[in-house]
Amino acid sequence: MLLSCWDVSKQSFNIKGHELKFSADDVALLTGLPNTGSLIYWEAEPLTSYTGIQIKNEMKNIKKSTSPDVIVNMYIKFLLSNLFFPNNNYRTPRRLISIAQNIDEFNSYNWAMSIRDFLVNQLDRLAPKYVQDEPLGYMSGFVPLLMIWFLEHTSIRQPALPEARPRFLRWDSNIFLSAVQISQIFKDLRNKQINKSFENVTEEEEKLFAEEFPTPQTFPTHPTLPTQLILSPVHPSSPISPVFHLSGSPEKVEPTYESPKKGAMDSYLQSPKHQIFSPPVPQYSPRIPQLPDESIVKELTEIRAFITILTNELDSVNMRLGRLESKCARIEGNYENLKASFYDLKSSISEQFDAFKSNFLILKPDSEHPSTSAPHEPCDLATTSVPPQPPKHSELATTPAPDQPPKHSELATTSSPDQPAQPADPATTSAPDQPAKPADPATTSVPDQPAKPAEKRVSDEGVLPGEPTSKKAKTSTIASTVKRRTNRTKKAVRTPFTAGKRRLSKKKEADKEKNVIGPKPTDGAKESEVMVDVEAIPYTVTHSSSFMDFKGRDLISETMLNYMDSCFAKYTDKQKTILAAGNVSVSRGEVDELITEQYLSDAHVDAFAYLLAEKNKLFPGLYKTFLYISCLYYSYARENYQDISSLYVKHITRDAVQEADYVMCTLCHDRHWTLLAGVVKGKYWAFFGSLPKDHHKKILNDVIQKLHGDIGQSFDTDIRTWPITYPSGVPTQTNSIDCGMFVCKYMEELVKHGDVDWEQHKNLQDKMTLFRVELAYAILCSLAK
Amino acid sequence: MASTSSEQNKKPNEAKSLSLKVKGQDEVEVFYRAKPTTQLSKLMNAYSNRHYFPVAFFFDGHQIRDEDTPESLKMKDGDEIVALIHQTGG
Repeated sequence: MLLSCWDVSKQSFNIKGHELKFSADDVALLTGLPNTGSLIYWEAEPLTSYTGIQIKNEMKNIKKSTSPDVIVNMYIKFLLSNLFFPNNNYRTPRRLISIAQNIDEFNSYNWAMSIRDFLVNQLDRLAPKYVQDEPLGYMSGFVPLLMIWFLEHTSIRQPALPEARPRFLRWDSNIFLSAVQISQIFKDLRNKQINKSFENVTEEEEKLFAEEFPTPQTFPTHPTLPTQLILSPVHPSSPISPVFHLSGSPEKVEPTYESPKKGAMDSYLQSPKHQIFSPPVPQYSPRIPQLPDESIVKELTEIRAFITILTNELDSVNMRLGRLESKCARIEGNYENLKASFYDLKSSISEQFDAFKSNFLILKPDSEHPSTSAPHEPCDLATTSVPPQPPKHSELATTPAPDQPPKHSELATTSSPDQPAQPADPATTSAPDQPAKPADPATTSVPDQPAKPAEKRVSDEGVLPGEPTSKKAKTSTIASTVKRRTNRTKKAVRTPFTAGKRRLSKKKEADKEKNVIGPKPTDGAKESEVMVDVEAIPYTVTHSSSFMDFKGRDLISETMLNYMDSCFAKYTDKQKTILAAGNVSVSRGEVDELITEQYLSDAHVDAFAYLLAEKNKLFPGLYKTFLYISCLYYSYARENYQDISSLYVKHITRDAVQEADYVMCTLCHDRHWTLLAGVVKGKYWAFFGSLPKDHHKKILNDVIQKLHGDIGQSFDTDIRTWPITYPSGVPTQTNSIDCGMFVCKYMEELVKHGDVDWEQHKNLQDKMTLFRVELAYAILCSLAK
Repeated sequence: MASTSSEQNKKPNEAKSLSLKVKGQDEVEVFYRAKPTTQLSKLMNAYSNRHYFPVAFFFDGHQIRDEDTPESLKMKDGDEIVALIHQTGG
């Protein structure tokens, strides 16, 4: 009702000539949330599939054992998603979770302004659409706030608790009025009852829109804080004040019952920072004398107010917890990094070791004999005045040297002159041959390889073929790992996440080899290279279970069940086509989807329509005749696949339309099934949807436009001029999976009865499991043909 | 299918591969090479195993069935098959 008064251009309500601004300060007054800090724009946030309802259910499941920070996290989520910024279909923005996790920043946001902006946006959106006595669908946002705001601005009703602050506590749950009551109020509303501003704005309230506000962070953090929150439905009809009973520290809560909480609240709001570690309650003097008469109601609100304080306290404790946790997380991150680099090292070492081992194996037959002479060999080297150990050490010491080849294979290919020279120098004369040897086997000069070691052995040069390579390999592994470590910018730390990424990129590369994207291939030879050869690929069968344990097993007769079981046992290939007719094809996998309560695809709905048409053919004249247009028509027409979309309407000829009663056009838009039924004789459209969502109706005009373009000439009249009706009392779904089945049933009922009294089908939802199984059975029956 | 096997027997010499292009709704093209007598179910199977969405294949204004072959659909070298995503909802 208030919507009718909303003036989009001025962003204010216009009630009986009075212009009333709905400002952020008002919101601050009503909710007690400060009008300072940074803004959040919810509208722009990406949505998640995490719904407000889920959050609500999580809240209800809180147990004593739940840790306080989890509770605070959930409480914030609940507050934001279900109360301040509820969206239609209960989707929650991704931002929500990040806010709930950074409790420290909670107070830095401007909640009042954010709530107001969100509401105003909704009002802007809905107000132009407002028509007298027509439901508008959902309005997102903190709608109850508007109601309270309205009551605050008028004096039609007396607040139940005039002194309570924040102001929303002044009103009890009966402020939610039916449309009739509201319109009555509007009629009775006299000008003098409208206040330009709120009455009785108290000092502490003004503080809320001043620049600074009391930060709950500075509020005393007490070790014996309540550890349990129980959601108690004090206001069952309104989500306005989710009231929390705090328990867990009775000795802390008890004194608060005696002292007036109003005072506590005020001084809490005014509490300067230096009071940090003083206990919150006892020192405050009561500002308002206690009223013994209306004690119960009064006390309730007081308790409620104090509970808010306590929750705030809890918040602050949890903020500290959160800070500690973030520290922990940082330490953990460091630990992870260390671990990752350790793995890095380990893997590269093992890699190098493998490389060395393979090289060693090549050389092994030759080194068998010298292995006995290995002990002598250092002596030889020692006699040549350069001991073998020092070079080893020096190599180790100079490992980060850039000339050092990082890998053995690289060593082989580059045959770096510096490094092999080191062991070569001590080895006297035939040293030049020596470094060449480990290089050779790697560089494919296999025939030379056996010859050279043989020479070596004869000369008995002393330098073992295996030994120096091993040294080199070992040192080079360390060198390479060190080198790699310095090259950190290039090499990312390996974590499970990056491992997945790497796998992905590898996969992409592999795919790229197979795929040619874009108009690249002009060369025929090249093209055949990148092409996937169908002959070469084995036909991979994804098997379905040969026995399906589905929900509706006990709903159907034994013969049906036996037949279905035998079919499932016989056809286990998921891609095996079960039903194929015209443009309809259903595979085994899709039958599984049908009976396991998953989303319906176009294959199912088309199959249902096909079977319905077949049934019609069996008993001509018994049912209404209809022409069916698959949902694929519109989804392909929208994507400009004209030649394919026209497949789905080519049977809509002039003759066919002459004989038909209905043109059934199923639509699948935004993962929701709807039905647009054209009543040929009556020349109107009827739209059926199992969810009362408006945005699925938006596409209708486009659909009809497209239909007109393709099959408009088959109709006597212009189908664009047919009015669209929305039949009332249509049964709706209570879950989120059955809309496809509902569309099927709408079709069936229309075809069977023409004018349907939808009131008789209220309990359609209960039979959905049976309908699914029946459809699956009917599809499987086509195998028998 | 019996028909295709008989076709295979008839023309064993004409096993010259065709290159076929499968174009997805995202405009990404994948190239396949297949004999004219190979059932296209094999091609569709290969494509489906790489893409996670259930897709329908169209050629020349017809939905391709499992038992179809390039020959039966009179496909020529370089022809384009369109792969379109199925619609699901709940």
